[in-house]
Amino acid sequence: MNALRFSRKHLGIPYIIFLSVFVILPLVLIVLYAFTDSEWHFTLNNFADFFLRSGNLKVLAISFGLALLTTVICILIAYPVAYVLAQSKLKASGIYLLLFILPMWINFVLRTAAVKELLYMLDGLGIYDVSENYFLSTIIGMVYDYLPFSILPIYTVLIKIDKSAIEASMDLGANPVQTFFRTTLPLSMPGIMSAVTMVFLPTTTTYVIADTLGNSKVTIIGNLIKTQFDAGTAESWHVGSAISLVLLVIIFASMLFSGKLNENDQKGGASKW
Amino acid sequence: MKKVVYMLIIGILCASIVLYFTQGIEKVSADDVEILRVYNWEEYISEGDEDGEYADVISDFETYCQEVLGRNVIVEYSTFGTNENMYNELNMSKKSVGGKTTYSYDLVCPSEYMIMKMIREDMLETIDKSKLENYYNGASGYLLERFENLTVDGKKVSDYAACYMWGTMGFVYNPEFVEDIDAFDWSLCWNEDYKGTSTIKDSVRDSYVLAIGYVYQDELLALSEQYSKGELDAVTYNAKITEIFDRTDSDTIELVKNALLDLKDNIFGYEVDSGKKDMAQGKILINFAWSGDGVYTLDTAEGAYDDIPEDEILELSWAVPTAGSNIWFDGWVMPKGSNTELSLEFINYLSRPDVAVSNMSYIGYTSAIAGDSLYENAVDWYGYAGDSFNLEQDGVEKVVSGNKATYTYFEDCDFETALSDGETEVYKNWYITEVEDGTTTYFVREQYFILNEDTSEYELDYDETFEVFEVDLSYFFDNLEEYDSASIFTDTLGRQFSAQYPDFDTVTRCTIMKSFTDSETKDLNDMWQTAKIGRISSAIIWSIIGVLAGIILVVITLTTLYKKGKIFQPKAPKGYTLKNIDLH
Repeated sequence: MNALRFSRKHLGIPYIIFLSVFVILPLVLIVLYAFTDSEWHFTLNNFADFFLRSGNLKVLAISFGLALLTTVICILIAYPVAYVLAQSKLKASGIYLLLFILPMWINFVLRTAAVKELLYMLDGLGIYDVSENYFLSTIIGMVYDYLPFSILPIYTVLIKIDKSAIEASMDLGANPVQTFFRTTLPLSMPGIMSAVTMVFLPTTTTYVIADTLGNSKVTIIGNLIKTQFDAGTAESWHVGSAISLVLLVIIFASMLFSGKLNENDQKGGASKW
Repeated sequence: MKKVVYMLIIGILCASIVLYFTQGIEKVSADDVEILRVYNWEEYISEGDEDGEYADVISDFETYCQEVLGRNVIVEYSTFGTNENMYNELNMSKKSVGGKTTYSYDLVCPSEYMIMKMIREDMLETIDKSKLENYYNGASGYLLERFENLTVDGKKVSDYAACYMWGTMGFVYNPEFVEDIDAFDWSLCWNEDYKGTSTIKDSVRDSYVLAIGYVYQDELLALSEQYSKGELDAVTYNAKITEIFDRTDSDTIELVKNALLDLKDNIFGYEVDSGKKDMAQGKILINFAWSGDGVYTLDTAEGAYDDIPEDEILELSWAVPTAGSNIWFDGWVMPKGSNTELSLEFINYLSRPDVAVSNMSYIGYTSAIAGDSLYENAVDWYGYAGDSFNLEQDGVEKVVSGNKATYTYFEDCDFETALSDGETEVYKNWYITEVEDGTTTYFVREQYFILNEDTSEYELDYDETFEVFEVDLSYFFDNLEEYDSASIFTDTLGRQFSAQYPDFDTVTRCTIMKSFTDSETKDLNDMWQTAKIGRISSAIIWSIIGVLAGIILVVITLTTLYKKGKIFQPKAPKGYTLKNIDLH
């Protein structure tokens, strides 16, 4: 009887079910597909197939290069905005923030289509060349779509910073620039790190943006995976799963990396005092 | 009080759920209900509309079964977006029970190469031709014959599939900016005059056709010349072209790869579906397309579907390269374990001329069905029946002046009947044939009369004469009964009409490309992948890798140094010394 008693743990059951069906099971399937051939025999060929092709490595490099650029631009734009918003004593700052994160509530496919139309408008005015600048368009689209995801985490960290830490820094003789670089920036590192993870990783695979704005001329890892799953040959799902697994490992590694960094910084920030 | 309201709401919800399910059960549990599971392309059958302008073919079929056959049939209709999606979905639903394979659909409508792939993989039931009376009587004999010759692994495609819609591949282009002569050349997309203005399909098969046409254009044109000189007959000519388009040897793949790599720098981009809209809005000037999409694009650009401002209306054109191209078709096939008897009934129903006309009007593609109704439909859409220019018929007036003979025949237009019908508008067509020094030209004079309410008389409102050109479609409409001539006279050559009904020369130079085997598909996919990535210099790649590695390295060293207390330590202001302070 005891075993049937309701405890708080049981609240998690729906999620466990969801998790196992839609997260664990697919992961198992990906691993299963990645290490087998079309006859379901164990093989490593899928990985060899991926890494031995120089084109695929190019795609990897392009994806990460694109993601890096997007992330850097996003942070460079997002940080000042978040900083100003967090500092402002305006009653309306909530509304300003809302204005920045409003696009987040609209589906990104729609947003991307909107950016496409905007760029065409500029093209019509003769300011911008849509057909030449497909790479730039892709970056514009990525930045536009992921900017809210970088403002929000930075903003949340910034408003939580203890004002007394900044006052203390000022009291100890640091000028505003020093205060910013010595106190505010290190304390907001967790926000930056989560912004980086929220921008960098998705941008490597968001092929919809690359296809819509880059006129399908920019190939990123997302495209590679999609092509494999669409190819319809016997082993294409297996190769596709292998690529997904490679990507998964990369994502996992960078999560670990950024997590470590984050941890260090928090520790560092504290031990500094 | 609140409780009562909640109870009520919950009660209603429960009741509706129970009702919903029992209703479902009732439907299914009836013994005589037969279910037909049809899997078709999106927007590929007349689904009807509110105004009743288009027929709802699916429910019409159900009614037909009920009323004519006395059977209770429910069609479960679902759609797919690409052949590959359909194939994946079908394979996922595959069940093997007691050595018998079944899939979750009775009737599917893939494209020709997918049909061949499915035949090769033994996924399909054969067709009992005796059950498809409408199809075999109605379909164009020419098409049937071409399918009869189509084999894969020694199996005839026609034993497994019934053609639904068909067409060619070619270019939709904007004649305002693109020279007509260039559009008939495979190098159109490589032409630097049109840099950054063309799109091609984001699909390996279609791009392969394009690139083959480009790299082997000289060879194809040489064959075309031999054919026009009469050194080759139509069948041999077509066989030779087919051989070229079917090449998948490594040299060809290499050539194609390089061609596609060059192409990437010259085109605007690749598209799956957006090309139609971009083309109609004038964003791009050239789109490599299937003829059915071509018709749709041309219609859209003219404002056939939406009211668009006069100055945004575009008149686009259609061209199938002179060197030859690809014929595609979508056909009905029955996966293993299908309810073949009912499926055939459905195909047969779709092959009825009136249903074929409905579908054609709704989706804009070209039906495989020929015959009188379809011919009338084409005449109605695009021009004037060949019979109108028949000089032998009664009522033709002949006027000779010098070397020129003018024959005029005009269609009766009965003002009296129109008046009693209350019609306010009647029209009159004149068919004029001029023969001068052995050359014949054809004109149509169209007149519209509008009823003047005050005088009760018809007044001429519109009167125009224009030249029309004869297109002989006797190769396709080879089963006409009421018409002596299968020609259509049209003033819209090179536009929707040409896309919908290619002339004999065009179909002769078009091949049905083979279906690639799995290993060929793999090679082609690899080639396509490389071509799409494009020529990116390794300097860029290495610099990206360098930057990434650099960032990781810098971050790691900085954090380790920081952890060890070597850098970023607080410095004491001037005149002070810093002691170890630990706030914790």
